Amino acid sequence: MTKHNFRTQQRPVSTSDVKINTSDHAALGVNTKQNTSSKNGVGESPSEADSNSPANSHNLADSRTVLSLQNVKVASRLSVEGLRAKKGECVHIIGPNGAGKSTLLLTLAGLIDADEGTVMLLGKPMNDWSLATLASVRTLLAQQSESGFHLSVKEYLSFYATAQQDELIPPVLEKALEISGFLNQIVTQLSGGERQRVEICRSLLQIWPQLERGEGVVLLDEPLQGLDIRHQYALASLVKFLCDKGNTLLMTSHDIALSANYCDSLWLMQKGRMVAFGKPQEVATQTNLESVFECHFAISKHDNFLEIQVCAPISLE
Amino acid sequence: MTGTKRTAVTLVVIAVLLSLVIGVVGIVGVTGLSDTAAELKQHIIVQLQIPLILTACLVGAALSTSGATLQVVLRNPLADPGIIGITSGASLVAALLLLLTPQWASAYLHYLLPLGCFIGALFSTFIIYRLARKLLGSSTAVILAGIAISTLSGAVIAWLYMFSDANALRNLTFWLMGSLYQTNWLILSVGGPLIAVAVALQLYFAGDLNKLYAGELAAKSSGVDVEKLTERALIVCAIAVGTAVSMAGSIAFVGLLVPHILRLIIGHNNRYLLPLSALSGASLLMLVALSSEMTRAITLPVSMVTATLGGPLLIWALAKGQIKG
Repeated sequence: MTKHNFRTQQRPVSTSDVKINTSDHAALGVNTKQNTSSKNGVGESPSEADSNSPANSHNLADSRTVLSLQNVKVASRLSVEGLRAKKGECVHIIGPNGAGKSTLLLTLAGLIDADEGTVMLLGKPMNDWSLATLASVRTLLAQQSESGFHLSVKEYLSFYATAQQDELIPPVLEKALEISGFLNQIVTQLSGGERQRVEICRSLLQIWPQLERGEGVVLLDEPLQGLDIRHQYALASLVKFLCDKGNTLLMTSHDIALSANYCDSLWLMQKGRMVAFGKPQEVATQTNLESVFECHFAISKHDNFLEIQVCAPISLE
Repeated sequence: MTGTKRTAVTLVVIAVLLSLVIGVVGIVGVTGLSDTAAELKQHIIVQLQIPLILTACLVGAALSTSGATLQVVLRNPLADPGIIGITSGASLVAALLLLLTPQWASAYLHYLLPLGCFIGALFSTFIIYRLARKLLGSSTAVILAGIAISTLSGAVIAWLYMFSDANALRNLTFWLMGSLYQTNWLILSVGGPLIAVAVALQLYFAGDLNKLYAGELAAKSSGVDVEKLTERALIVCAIAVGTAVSMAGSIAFVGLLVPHILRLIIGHNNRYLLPLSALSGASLLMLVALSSEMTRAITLPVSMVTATLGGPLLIWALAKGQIKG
């Protein structure tokens, strides 16, 4: 464990994957690169019976596929060959800073246009969705939201809540996020973690009727940021709860140990590419994690629990 | 909306309506409609005082609604058409038009002025917008840029008047300090509809503006086309402010004063804030006009009065940390 293996990352700038021209070769399910799409995949998406046969493993027409990406490229930041999330799936996305996690979420949210390839939401290409209809089926928690206005938490949330709602904050959200204590406080005066809980609540309220029916798509960019340990696990449980109802959820995280144990699928990203995706036990392997994060890991399995520890962090000598 | 908030809204509406009534009664009372020498007085009321009051209402509504909208669009609680240099851009074009319009075209000046002011307002609005996008989150930088723009326009206006006849000096005061006394029915018939439409459009944006409080991405995620909204809102504000300037010169602080006080009372919901800003702005300027009518202080510069009220408020807000850089 003393041997340090920290190569300087050498990104081949000249061969960066910026593509100026857009092509539609990946559209309409004509998958010219079907074989390459599983090249990097360590395992398939979780144990659904219909996904086990290789022939239709990337069939976009699968009715249970909620979100899918085919040969998507976004500037030099993202290059993903084939990925999909199924209804009710809970996906955690991990990777070092600058790996393209946020870009991936923004692309899946339809807020960044892919330069190449197709993004499909609920069987419809992203280009065919309008911002307004998107807003009623999927929600996004972005990093860094700013407000210089001194409005109260209650008022702030009320702008995003869907109209006909008996109570502003549904009991489940209140249980996990515990924000009723500072509903009358000013948003800008909250602590970082409290503000983050409010932001999570805001993003979920946006499509709450959908989430209650189990038809929502939730994209959370680093929701654990700033949360204390209690609320981190409360959030992980809330996420699980929402997925069990049938909602599809993708979130990025830097807590590998938590993510590996609270997701159905783990996506591992590096330098804009998907290094591995599939069941957490298959993705969170020592080889994968050490090559991506350039740290030493100790991983042990206890029944269904994955214990992941970082053994040799960066030395400053 | 909660009970207390509903009460607050009701109170504000009542206060505003009351002051409007006081205004109408006041003007009639001061001039004494019952006087037997009614002919001349009636002429004064119809030709001078009613246009004066209507202009005050329109300009007040335009400036305070635009102030409220700009504050949300630029995510800057300090944005006021005057402070960030929109009115001075409009004033500059107005001054240019007044000095440079040839004799034969001066008959059309009433139509040219709102258009010119709109172009001036739009131009400075977009300079500010570009700067604001670059400096997003830094309130003070946008304000400094606005001060630079308004100081520069003020200087150019002053230079222009140095090279024109002495009679123009009074006009200089008008464009720099604002006045409600240059109005008439013709000006009103052009400016009135423009302001009414511009204010109505802003009310229409209110729901989308609410979503901007959480930032651009959150607004987009909840279905608001932020670029389009920003563009439209800025154009509409430029129309409202440009028209207001063409009618009454630059009037400071109304766009800051009114929305700020209203937010303290009724909160940040633009669905209530924008219409109440229009009403309160209208009644505020009307009271200013009325008070100078009553004290017979002829052509009291409106900006002098509004700045006297608004300046201390701005200092108080800064000191209290209501506004942060």
